[in-house]
Amino acid sequence: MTLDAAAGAAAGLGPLSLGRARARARGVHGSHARRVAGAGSEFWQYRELQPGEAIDRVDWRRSGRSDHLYVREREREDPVRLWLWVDASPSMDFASAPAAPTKLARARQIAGALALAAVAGGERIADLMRPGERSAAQELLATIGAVDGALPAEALHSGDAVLLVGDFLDGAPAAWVDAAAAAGAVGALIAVADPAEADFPFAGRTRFEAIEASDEPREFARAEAIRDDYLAAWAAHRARLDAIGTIAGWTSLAHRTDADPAATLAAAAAWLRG
Amino acid sequence: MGSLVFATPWLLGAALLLPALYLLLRLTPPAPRHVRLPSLRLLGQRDEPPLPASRPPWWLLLLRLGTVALLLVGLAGPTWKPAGTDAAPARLVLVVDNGWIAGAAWPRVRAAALDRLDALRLGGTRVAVVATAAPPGGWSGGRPPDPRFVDVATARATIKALRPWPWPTDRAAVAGTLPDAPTLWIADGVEDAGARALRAALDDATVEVIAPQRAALRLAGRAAGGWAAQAVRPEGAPDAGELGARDSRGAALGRARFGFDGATATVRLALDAGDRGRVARVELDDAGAGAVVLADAAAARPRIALVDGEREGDAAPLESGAFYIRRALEPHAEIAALALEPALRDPANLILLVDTPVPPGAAAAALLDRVRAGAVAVSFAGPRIAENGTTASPVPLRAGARALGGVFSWQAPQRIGGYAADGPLARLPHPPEATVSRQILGRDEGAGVMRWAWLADGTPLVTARREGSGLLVMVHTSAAPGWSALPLTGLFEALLRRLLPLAANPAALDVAADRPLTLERMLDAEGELVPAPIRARIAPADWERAVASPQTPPGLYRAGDVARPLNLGLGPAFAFTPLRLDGMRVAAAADEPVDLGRWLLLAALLLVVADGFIALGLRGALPRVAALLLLAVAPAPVDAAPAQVQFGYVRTGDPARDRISADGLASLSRVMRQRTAVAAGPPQAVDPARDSLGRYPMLYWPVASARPLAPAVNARVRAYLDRGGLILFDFVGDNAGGATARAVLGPLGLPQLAELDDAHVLSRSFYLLRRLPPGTWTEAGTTGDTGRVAGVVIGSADWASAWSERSGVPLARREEAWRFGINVAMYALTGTYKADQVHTRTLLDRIGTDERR
Repeated sequence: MTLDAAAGAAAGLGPLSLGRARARARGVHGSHARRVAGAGSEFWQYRELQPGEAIDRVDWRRSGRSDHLYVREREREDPVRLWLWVDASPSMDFASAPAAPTKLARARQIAGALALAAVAGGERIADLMRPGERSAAQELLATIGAVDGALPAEALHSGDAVLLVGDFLDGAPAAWVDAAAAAGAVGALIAVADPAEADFPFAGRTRFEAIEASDEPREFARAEAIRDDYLAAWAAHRARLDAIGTIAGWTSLAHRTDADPAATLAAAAAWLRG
Repeated sequence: MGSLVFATPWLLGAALLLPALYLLLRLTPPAPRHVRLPSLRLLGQRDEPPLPASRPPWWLLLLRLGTVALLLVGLAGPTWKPAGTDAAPARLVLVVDNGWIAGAAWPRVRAAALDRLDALRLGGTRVAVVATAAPPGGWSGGRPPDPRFVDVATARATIKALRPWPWPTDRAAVAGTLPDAPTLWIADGVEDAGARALRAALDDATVEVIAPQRAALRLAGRAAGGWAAQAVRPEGAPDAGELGARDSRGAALGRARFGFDGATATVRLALDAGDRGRVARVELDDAGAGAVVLADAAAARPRIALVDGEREGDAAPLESGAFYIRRALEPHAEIAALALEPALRDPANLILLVDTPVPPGAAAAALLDRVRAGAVAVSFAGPRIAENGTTASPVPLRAGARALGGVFSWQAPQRIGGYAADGPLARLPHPPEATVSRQILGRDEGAGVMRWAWLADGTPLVTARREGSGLLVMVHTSAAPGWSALPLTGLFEALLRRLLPLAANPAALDVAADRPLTLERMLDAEGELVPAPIRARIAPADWERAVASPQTPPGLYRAGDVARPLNLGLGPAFAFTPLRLDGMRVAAAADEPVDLGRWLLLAALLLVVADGFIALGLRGALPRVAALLLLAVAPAPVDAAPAQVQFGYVRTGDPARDRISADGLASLSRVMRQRTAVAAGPPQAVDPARDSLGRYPMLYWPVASARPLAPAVNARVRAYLDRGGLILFDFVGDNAGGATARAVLGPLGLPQLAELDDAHVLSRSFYLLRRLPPGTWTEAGTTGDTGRVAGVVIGSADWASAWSERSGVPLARREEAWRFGINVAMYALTGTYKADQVHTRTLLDRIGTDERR
């Protein structure tokens, strides 16, 4: 369901090319060529066909001018990649109203929509939790957000775009983003919040059940009495997340599950396009 | 003001327990609401005040205390007595009419009396209950007892035990015993002789009249062909009634409907001859002692077969015995004058043979058979019997007649000597003028022969003998005046009438025995026969004068074999004369007391339900329960879908533009009605920011400005498209190469667009269009082969103007626009239904190929 919704939203976005990441990579390295043979568009060199190589790789025009068979090699070019991370902590599996989507579902929809749009734009996508895995976009998206864990210290480099979707209740990943930005990666952080989390619509005797393993259930005789304290804490949380938007090459977006994801998607896509 | 009365006031004492309930409620607070909130961790662990002793909110406490209080008060049975009853006096005499008139309305009378007592319940009034009709047997001591004042509860019991009696009230007797106290008279509403006396004795009195509503029978008796009766009705009673006759087992014998002429009605009830003798009671459909007349079997008109031995024209009428018999019995019996043979076959049980010799032989055998089966044969002597004798005599007769007082006799005509005390003729008078000058004597009086009457010299005048279950009776002188003066006296009729009951019951010879009649079954006030409450006796001599009274209740009396009814006997002068009030106060009708208990209990129940909802709400479960309740209770939301297909256009705010849109769509709808199966209704202007869009399959949206869509509109349009709607955006000739469309529709997040070509299903959804409007775009990948249906068609051809017949568009272009519009509308309605025609040509080609093979 999430994937369908993501596909629909992606269709609405149109093809997404990671212009900002590409520009960043060019800005850092000048021309983005790697001076090694590899997959790329620019010609690099001819070399002789090695025994055992497939015959269809022979460049016949060059080979015709000599007795040897030559293979045309192209300069390696690093593709721009969209790294995805969806917070899968238990706190994401929450919806205050039965009809509303959970934060996780919405996060997966947002990440999936942007990823599909990027695929449609000819970009490559990868899951931060499983960096080595090379699978089709649909399979990758089907498992995204299924693994709970902290942000891995994956070596990112220039040309990488990162999309972090979660509630970041464990703390803003400012240090991680700093490191990623230093490595040349650009990215967007989308904080998904439930309306109840933003508004705290509780009053009277209320018992808050434990969500994560480390939590304790807490009971208040008058929930309305702690509302101001809570809203202050929530504002501070928002401020910490917004601070990430000030890091070079990064932005921070907020999304509520009761809002239309199209606006957030459009903003994220616009930012990724550069 | 009224008063509040509690049925069980002690329950109110339980209110003392309410403070305890307060403590109990504090011990059981409302359960906390259980919620989850992941972001609560942001709050951090802080010093929280320990949870206070859980205290329900004051309003909840109040609600629950109120619920219990309502419950207690409701269970205590509060009743609101509206104002209208007078202040309760210290002493009250309650005079209740309980004669036969009140008996017909007894439930109302008793209810009225009890209501009056209920109104006094709180006042501590002492009440004396006085009934105006004496109990059976009369008041002990001959006068009503002095009233005793008792408390209201006892008075209620007295009223409940009070019975109406089937005889008139004796108000005058009661009047003499009334003490000097406020009096309330529950009157039966009929004036009688005692009413004046009672009124005179009452000075501080209130009267409540329970007006009679049922008719009564004031006269009823046998008449030719059945019964005749006179019914009398009180004012306000129904003006029609029904008179019915029943036999002793209650089976209906006949009915007659009648209408009242004024206050009275005379009814004739026709009955079959065989049924007439079986009538045991005649009654109106109204029950009550006054509406019932018990039938006296002895008063029945028996059928008599009169056999006259004289031949026609033998004697002048005044010399014929049959003539005298007929004159004597005609008022009391039906007389059939027959010859002997037919008389023996007649159903009549009494056969009078006037000087008719029955010779031995077939006729004698037949007669004796009839008699043995229960008939009574009475023979009168005469010249023919004197000459021929008869077998129908109880005693063997000497031939010839004994003449007394004739020229050849020394003896003077004989007077009546006496009657047998145990015979039916007992105690008949001995008038001196009743002399007998000629008689026939019996030879000897054998065993079983009864002498019922004799002459002064001891010779028999009437003899009888049982024969089987019947009787043979012989009158030893003739029925004609030639032999005696008897037929010329009143004694003759009396004597014959004494014989009539024998026809009904030949065994009951002691009809006139001098034994008192004892009450066997009493006719009660409801008109039913009940066992006698007292041993009432009426001496035979007093019977004719007996009237219904406490000492002689109406009902069936019996003496030996004889049963006779005593009726209420209203008499021909009776009428329901309304009671004169003469200055007495009429009691105000007591308003119905209002039972508050049930309403309080209902309110308590509602509060309990409300409390349940509140408890659920405090626990946070209310929305779910409410949703369930709504699902269960609320009717399915009425689908506001229009009855017919309708196209919408988006209001631009420019009236001229909107008019063009309306005209264009109206024309398109009309053309579609003509050419397609789609009967589209009139187009509807919509505002996408406010109106519901879901009812329109297609929206025509002329875009006037280059402003992007507002976010609110955006969301609604997206929802419309997601649900399968189709919007025809028309940039009205000003698309700036698609830039305007991009700017306006950008926020919509439309998927990739492609220019419309003739591969798209839009080109054949109804018409096969070779030329599509240039510069028209729709979603990519919706040509039809994938099943995806485009949600938007974007162009700038100003379709509305082209559709509208009011614009000056060339006909060819209008037709082209119509065809495209119809195709778009069909596409909106049917989707890719026509897409498979893409392959039609291939399929046809393949078929052709197969044929060639």
